[in-house]
Amino acid sequence: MKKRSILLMCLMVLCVQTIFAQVLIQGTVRSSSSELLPGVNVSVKGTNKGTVTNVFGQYSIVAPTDGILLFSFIGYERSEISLNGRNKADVVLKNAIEQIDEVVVTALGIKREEKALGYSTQNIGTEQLSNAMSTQWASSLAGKVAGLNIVSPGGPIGSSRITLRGDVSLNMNGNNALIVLDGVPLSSQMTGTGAAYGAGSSSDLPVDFGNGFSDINPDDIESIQVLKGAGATALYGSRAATGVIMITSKSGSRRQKGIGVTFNSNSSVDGVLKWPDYQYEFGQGVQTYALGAAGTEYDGELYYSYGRTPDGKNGSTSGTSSAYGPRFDASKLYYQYDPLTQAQGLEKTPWVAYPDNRKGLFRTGYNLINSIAIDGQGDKGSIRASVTTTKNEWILPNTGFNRIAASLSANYQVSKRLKLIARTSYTNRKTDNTPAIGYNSNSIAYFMIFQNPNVNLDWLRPMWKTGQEGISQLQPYSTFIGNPFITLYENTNASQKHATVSTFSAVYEISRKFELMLRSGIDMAFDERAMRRTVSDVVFGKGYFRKQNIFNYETNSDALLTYRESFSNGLSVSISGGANMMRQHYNLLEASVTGLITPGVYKLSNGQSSPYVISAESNKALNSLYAAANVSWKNKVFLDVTGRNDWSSTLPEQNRSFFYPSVSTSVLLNEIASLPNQINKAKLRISYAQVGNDTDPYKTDKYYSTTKFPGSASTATTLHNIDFKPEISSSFETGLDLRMLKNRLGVDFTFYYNVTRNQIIDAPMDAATGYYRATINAGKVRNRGYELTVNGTPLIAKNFKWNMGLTWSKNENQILELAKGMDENQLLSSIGSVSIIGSVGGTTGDLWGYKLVRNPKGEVIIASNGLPAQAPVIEYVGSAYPSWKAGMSNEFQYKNFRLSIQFDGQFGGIVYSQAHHKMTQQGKLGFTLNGRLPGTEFYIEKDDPRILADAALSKKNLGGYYMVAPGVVDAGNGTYAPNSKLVTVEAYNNENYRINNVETNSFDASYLKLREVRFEYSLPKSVLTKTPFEKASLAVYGRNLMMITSFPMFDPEAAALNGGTITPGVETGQLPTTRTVGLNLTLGF
Amino acid sequence: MKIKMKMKTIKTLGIFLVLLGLTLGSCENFTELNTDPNRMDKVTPGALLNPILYELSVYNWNRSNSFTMELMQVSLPTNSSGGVSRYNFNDNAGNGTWDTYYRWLNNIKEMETLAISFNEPNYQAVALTLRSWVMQLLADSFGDVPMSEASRGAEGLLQPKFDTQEQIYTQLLADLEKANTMFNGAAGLRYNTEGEFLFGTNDALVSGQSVGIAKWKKFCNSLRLRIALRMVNSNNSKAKTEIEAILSNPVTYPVFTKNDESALLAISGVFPQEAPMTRPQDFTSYRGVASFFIDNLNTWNDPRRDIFCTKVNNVFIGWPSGYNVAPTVPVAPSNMNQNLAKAPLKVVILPYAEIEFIRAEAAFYGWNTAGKTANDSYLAGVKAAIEQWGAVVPANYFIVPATAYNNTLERIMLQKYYALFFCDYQQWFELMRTGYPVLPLGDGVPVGNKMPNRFKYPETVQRTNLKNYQEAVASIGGDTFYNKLWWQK
Repeated sequence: MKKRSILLMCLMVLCVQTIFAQVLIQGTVRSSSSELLPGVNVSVKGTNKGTVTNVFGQYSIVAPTDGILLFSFIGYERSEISLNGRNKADVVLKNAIEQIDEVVVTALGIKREEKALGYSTQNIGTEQLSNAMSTQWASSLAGKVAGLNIVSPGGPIGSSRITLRGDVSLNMNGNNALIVLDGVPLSSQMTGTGAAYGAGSSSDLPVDFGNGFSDINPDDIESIQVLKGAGATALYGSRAATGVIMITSKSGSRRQKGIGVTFNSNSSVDGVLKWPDYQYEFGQGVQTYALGAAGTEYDGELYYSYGRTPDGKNGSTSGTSSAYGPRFDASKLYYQYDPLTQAQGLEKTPWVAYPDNRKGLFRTGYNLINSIAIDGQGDKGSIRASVTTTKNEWILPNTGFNRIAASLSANYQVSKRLKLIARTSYTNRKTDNTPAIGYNSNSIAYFMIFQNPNVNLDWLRPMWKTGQEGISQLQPYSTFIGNPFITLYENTNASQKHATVSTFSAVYEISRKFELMLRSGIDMAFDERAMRRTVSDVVFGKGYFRKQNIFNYETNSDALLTYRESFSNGLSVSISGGANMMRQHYNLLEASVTGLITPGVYKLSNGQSSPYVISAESNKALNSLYAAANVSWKNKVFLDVTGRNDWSSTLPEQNRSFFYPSVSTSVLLNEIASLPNQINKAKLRISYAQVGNDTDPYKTDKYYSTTKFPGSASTATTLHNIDFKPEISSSFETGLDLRMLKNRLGVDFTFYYNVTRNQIIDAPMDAATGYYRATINAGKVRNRGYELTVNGTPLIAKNFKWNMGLTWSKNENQILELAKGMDENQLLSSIGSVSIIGSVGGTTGDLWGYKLVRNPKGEVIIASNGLPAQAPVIEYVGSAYPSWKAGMSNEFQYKNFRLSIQFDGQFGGIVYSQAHHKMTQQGKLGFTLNGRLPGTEFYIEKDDPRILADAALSKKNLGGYYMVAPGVVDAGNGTYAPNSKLVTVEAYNNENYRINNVETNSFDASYLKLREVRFEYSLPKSVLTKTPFEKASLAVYGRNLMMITSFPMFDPEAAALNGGTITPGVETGQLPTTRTVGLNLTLGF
Repeated sequence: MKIKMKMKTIKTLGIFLVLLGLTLGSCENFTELNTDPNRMDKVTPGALLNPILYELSVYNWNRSNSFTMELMQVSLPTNSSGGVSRYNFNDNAGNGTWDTYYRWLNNIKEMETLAISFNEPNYQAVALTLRSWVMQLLADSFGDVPMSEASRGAEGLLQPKFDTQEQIYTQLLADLEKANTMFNGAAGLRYNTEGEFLFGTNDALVSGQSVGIAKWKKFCNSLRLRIALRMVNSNNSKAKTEIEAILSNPVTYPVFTKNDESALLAISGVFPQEAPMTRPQDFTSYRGVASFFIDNLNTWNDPRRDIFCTKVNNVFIGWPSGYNVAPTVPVAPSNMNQNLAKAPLKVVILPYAEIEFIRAEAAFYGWNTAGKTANDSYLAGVKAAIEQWGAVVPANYFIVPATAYNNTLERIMLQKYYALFFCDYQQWFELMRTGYPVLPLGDGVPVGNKMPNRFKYPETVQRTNLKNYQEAVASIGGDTFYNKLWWQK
């Protein structure tokens, strides 16, 4: 009723005005490139009358015959037309010379002027995205957006964990930003295949087959708009509480009339960005009992013996994975492995290292990305069709993927009032093998750790034991270590994925003031996976085969009605109301056989027992109503109010409905106050918003868990809850956007403060209740932070331009409350020896584990056995979250040459490295030479008085064998004496860097990366006119070219993939990050 | 014209509202939509039984491997300077025990509830037997623990009170008495048509009797012997009456009488019955045999040596448990035999040999053992323990003074220690009850480190159930590894 009376009033105002009308003027407004311009303000000078152009750029307005019409539109120069008796006035608006205010795509795809927004957003354009073309679009975001954090577990397909402004949820999976492609939210759900730390467990290891959004074709992306805070995303509702990445795909609408063809070709080669420092000074062996026996030539010194030999009276030293054996010396001869007989050599052979025996497993990878796009525009619409093929041969042999992506987008003006827009894309991604990751006998990362320096990689190439091909893999040293060629060629992880994202929308202009938009979209994927594990596999000794078929889709339908009105006093109003229906469906059917009857035959029918079938299905629905009102006053002050009510199927019936509002305002200070001349624009924005959130399906009822035994069930370990409430995030944000010095310098600063409460978490319970966890509402997490972006043009000269961009962000995450009764700390995630524990006052990314024991002066306490003492309890070690992140880009343009360079980095945060622990324990990293190699700090000569003083020790003819652990011994009376006890170097490394010592195996995650470089030459227009081409450019580019970090393994941007969860701050068997160098050719005609 | 516009506007709004109404009209399906199409919401009591048996057995096997063997000087790590063998414990050493046992207790409770509603006394009796087995393991590992209010989270009872050990033991004996009378040989386990994992019980009858139920009944009474004997220090007269009543009345209280009646859970190795350890090589990695364990077997020239351990340089040699690591360490020790970890294998739940050792101990105390002497039962126990592993007792085995019964409890307990090889925590509990076998202290064991009496309660208990936790701590005299439990010597 209220709405109706407002309408009535508005109509009456119009009626009054028309009394003085003299003539109806009609016309069309175009841009200088003859594009129709909708939304242009048209007003009669000196009066209050005004209107806006429709989607065809048409307007009609009543004006005095001798009046003057004013046309204004953002990004264009104002225009005045004297009517002089005309009743038709077509206008061409010229582009503003310096386009200050761009049009921004906001929530639900609503286009707004940037200046009207009361919250911060950031836009990444085509050029920035394709500078150093990656096969994964998400990796192009790194370092470009303030407040964005992206980690990936690595590998060719590379799913990502993208978070904005810190982790708001205690639920590890509850922090991913929502990815929206042309209005269709995409699934980030991953179907896991195994645990990150799985050595010795019966579970398979994780294979990264990508998240739902990994397969967006980077070449089809027009731009990416990042909506960070709740103020920006409130209209998206519950799923956008963690921010939205809105991707707009390319369409034909930007072209002028005619047909255009664009051909784009990228070819690049991949290498390894950084290797750990491996040692190749000492070979296989264990110091404690690899000492030659009396009567052998190796009496009292370290020796080597492959299996039991005449030298090896104390047994074999070839079964160990440790490299604390004798120092390499070609003049030393030992019985070693003979690759011809695949057994102990008959002759002694020189003791030499094979420094290429890890790196040699890798190859130069390459990527070919070719795309062709055709687009055209007619009077009533435009269309774009494109096909892109991507071929990735990853840096490990027999890994990589092929992808074909086809897309079509079209818009058409069906009638004067109706416009239809359709977009569809189909992606087929096929991989015969993508490497498994994680710490597990079957992963390449595991092999890289366990490989000994005295082993020639070529010895492993035959894959199988001679005469047992297909039955028994060749593992000459240890049955713990899978043969890497078996891992790569036999134990494959294949996937064939078909995915489509389609949207259809209709915009109907009911009247000049009412517009109705209807949109429906679907994101649908089907993935068929097959994982093979050979007979004689380390984990599945009898062989294993698993198929996973995953079908999932999400549909979204929106209806949005918008009413616009401008008043004579400078006030203009836009009111929208809408509704959304969301449906999600996920269906996994998995069947596996453990134990194959015929080796090498990977079929479910070849199982020793019936296939074990897992079926998981989930359905979710969300209905919403929302409304928004945008009010602007004289284009100087803007106020937005939104409200949204959601009904979620996942919540208990009585709490199913929840409402949340937002309000934001933007004030152009330069328009309302007089500021120094140097300031071209000063925009202040303030917003406050709430966003509600639901949870995963089926938490409200009791179910039994399925077990692997047929006909069986067991009670659930998580207690369901019939009465929990939706989660609510409240956030406040304020910022200032300044443009200065004739728009050559732009500075944008934002402060935000976000609190998420009522989190729906599965909180740990005392098992005596019968349950490990219970679904409850608990916890309160705060994130506050600062973001700064600076854009500038430090230099402009004739033919030369230098643009610079800088982003900097800092987020402070803090847990304010935990579940009732759980005030001390709460386990959020646990991988291997690392626990991520939330405690009040701490962060949601706090790593806990054992540390060294120290006295009050901070000196390490050494126990009576001469080794660092073990702490009794786990402690806080550090936070995985960096203190700040920053990125810097520079672009230099000289005539037709363009050079762009991007750096980014982070400061602070720690990463625990499982690989570091294991390689240190096994003496395989360069620093473990300390004490073994003469001249190193811990080195003790064999005739050292401390050794000679002890008869038992001095018998051993060994320098570089004993050391003294740095630290002090507790005298028991409050005093500490320096430690002097001799221990072996191996014992020290083994203890000081033991797996549970999270302190000594964690490292500063700070890094600086030279992320992207592109050098491009475009043919000048003058040359092009003589060719059939409209555009032609050639470029060389590089990605991840350099890294400065103190992290000892591959990459501090590490994350562990555990099941379907990417956990930051923990490295459990990483694969190397690739360094890419490529060539790009773009032709347009 | 203006009126027309207005009408049109109203019409539009009307259509829009209808659309919205349609959208939200689907709300009523939400309850159905939020119902899992895959997981069961109703099951039979038989559905829960095999996962309970398998998962508990596998857990016990793993604990035996990783904890009891090191603690009780069966084996030791060759690469560690700390750990269980040197009596270094993390506060959370018992967390897995607590969590796993209570998780499966909840399943047992569910099975019992379902058995009652399905009116299936055999399932109820099986549930009571299994609950008694697990509750004793819990009480012996921690002391006072929740029993009467445990497994009741679904009723909203989230802070269960703790029962004292005495209350628990009294309840366990009563429950087993009740179970013994409930077993109905004329019926099998109707909902386990393929047979349950422990005794293969299904609904089949042989001459009108269920073979499996008869074994369950023997398991029930054998377990009662174990429970009763553990009270020997704290309630001697009750222990005596219970044990005498059972041993002198085999018709009412049948117990195990031979190895193939033992509660040994067979694991085939064929999926889904996989071996407890995925990689058998993990069983022997960085591991050696402790000299205490192997020296006795060497002395006895015991046939189990080859089954339990492997030779080094043609001899069985162990390292002293708690050895001083660096810098002087002898040659590599013998290792455990990897075959023990390879399927098919049998997980020891309650071996027949234990019954004979209980009988021997009862006779040693002079209790009524229905005519059997301590020596009779000692010999029967040793024989059963050797044969259980597929070995044959050498003809001259008992001739040597070291193996013959010498009228001491210590001798009985030493052989019982070997009989309880790979049987959850039983070696440890029996040591804490009797003080035997006497284990040597290695020179690398830090001063002050000693054999623990119990596990500490998990931290979660303090955080979620503080008041009851504090009462329990007051009741057992603290929450450390060294609080003496009610039944301990």
